[in-house]
Amino acid sequence: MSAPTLWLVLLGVAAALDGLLAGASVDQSIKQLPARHRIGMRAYSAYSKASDLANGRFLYPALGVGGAALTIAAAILALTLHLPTGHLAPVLVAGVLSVAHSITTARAAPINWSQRTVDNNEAALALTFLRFARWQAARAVLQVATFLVMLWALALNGGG
Amino acid sequence: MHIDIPLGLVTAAVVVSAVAAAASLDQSIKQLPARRTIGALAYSNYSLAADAHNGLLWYVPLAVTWVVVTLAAAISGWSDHPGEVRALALAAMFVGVTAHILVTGVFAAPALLAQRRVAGDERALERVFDRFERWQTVRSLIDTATLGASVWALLGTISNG
Repeated sequence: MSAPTLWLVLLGVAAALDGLLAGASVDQSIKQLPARHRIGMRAYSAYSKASDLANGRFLYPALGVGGAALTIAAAILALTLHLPTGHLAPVLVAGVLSVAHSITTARAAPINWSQRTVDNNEAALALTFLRFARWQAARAVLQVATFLVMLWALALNGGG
Repeated sequence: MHIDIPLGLVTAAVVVSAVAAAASLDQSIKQLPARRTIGALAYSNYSLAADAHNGLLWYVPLAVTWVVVTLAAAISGWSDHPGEVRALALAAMFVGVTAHILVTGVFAAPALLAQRRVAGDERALERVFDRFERWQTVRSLIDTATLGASVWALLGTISNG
């Protein structure tokens, strides 16, 4: 298999992981996090600790780190393939967006984990989830953007 | 840049399939297992506040968009004189979405909504969520396979030039 073909496969796998990551992130922002306003912060924290901080600690790193690492690798490899500027640009943009959403994750994740230190304090939990929801929203936007740009890159480069 | 209609539609189908598969996998891997830790009653409170609230505003438009975009992508792709492999990928994508709608409409959604009839009954809620989990697992497998078929159809469309 030639280097450009291998790179295209890498681009496709990275785009699929970016898509799953974007979908999971949007689900978190639209459906899961707003539920805290209806069931209360303590009940939501119990759910979050049993989900986000339980199986979520395996699911999200696999998607988040995997998707970002493959997207950044595809961007770096693209630099060696002498692609036309128009074909190279979206791959580089996706790489930059992956770095950006990884930075927001580095801010969001510790905030969510900090709920363990404010057990049963409704006001402190409310503040923690509010801060997390803000970073989570920024992360979701960047992850969706990464996915869309990756599909654009795939459509441009896949035609040969 | 020129993106033709079959390519644009199948790309849109990949986008919606990825979002749907992610939501399904997140439900199966992360959300539903939480009930074993917090209990069926607490999980039901969460589920009614999430799945049966914003979840409806999120999943229903997502499912409708998924069906419309996939049907449009399949029809557009089939009328684009596809090769055998691409035609098969488009068919697999369409069958996957149809299977998702059937499993959701006939089994999974009614199973989840049944929690309202047994509110407050921990044992009955456990049975409701166990039944929902079985159909949710089937749905996750279908959704992941449909995403694979959509990516396959996209690659087939791209390589058609």
